[in-house]
Amino acid sequence: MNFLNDPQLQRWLNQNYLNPKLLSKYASQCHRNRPFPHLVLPNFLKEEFADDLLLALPEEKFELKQADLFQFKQTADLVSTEIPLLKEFHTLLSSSAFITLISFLSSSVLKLDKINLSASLYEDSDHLLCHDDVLEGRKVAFFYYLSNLELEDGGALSLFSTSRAKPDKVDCKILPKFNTFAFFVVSRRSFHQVEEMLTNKQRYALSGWFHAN
Amino acid sequence: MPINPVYLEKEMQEQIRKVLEKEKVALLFDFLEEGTYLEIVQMLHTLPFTHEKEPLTHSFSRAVLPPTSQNKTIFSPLHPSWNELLAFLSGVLNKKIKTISFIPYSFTWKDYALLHDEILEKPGIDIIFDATPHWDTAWGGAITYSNADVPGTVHRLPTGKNQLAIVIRATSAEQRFVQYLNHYAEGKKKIFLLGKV
Repeated sequence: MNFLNDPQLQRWLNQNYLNPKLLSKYASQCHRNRPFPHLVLPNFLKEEFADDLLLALPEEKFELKQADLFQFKQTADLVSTEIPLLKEFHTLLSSSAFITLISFLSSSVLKLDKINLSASLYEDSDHLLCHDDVLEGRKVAFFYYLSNLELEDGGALSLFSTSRAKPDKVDCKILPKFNTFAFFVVSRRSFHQVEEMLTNKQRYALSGWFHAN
Repeated sequence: MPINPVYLEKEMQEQIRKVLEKEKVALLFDFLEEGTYLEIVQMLHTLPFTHEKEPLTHSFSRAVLPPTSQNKTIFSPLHPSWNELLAFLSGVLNKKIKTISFIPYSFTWKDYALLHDEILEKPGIDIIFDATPHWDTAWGGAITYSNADVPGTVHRLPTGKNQLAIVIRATSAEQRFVQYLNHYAEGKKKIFLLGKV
């Protein structure tokens, strides 16, 4: 696991995520997780980076996105952000070392030079209904949470079990917690939704996709 | 006469025809006489609705209109004024409407009806009678039309009691969805009748 010596990973990531033994454990956990392979990695970055990212996010321009399936606010792809820390975060996530790490954890072969990354903001009554994320090339969907929510706030990422290739019931809820990185492997059965926000808390996340070769 | 007499005047029907030709949508406020409207609301609120959910496409409740002996709705073929309704629709649509079946829908918190490739509707005309006495647009639930050929354009029908909406979907790119009803709609019901020509 030479990629763990990468200076960017060393600089940004919590030491736990640079430990090969722990990473192997996580990789095997990802494969076992139901209803489809996913992983939740708490305390992901060194705390000062998480704090600074949260401070930087509101400087970015969020636009209301509204369609039959969703209602939330989102930035443009951060590949073109002018905010230095967000630019650095994009550089980290699109680095071959980071993509190799996710590739290892998700047991997926990922393209080393392509990611999508944007920030989202969900507020009272915002939501994203059930879908599978399947679109040409998308292989791993990821979320880096910068808010702390409780179940009664809504905003959980719900994963559906499937029956006859269709979403059936919510099988697992991932509650956004500050400085947590989560991802799932995109497939024809990766049905998920973001539960409606029920309170006036703000749900900030940086999210996007890694792509297949 | 259950239909508001204003809508039975020839000049008014001509105006509605022109609006439909130009805008493809016509909203007729106070469509029924008040007494008829209240009877329909009362009947719809006692109907046994059945909830249906398919997460990828919809979550809502539907019912079947009871035989005319048990309801007083003009939207039922056995009602004495059924022919009056058909004549009105034929007049404003400029085509002979021989029959149309209306289905009552009820939406509440967490309900929605999405656009989906597998359930595309053929071009046609939607006749929607809104039987929701009071609704706040902030609660969601707007019946909305989108056109896949013109991305980003949507037409939201305003919710209004005793309102008849006539919507012409000229191509299969024009589809209807019902916006998600958020938690402010908890305990409330948006009820409408949908008929298709």
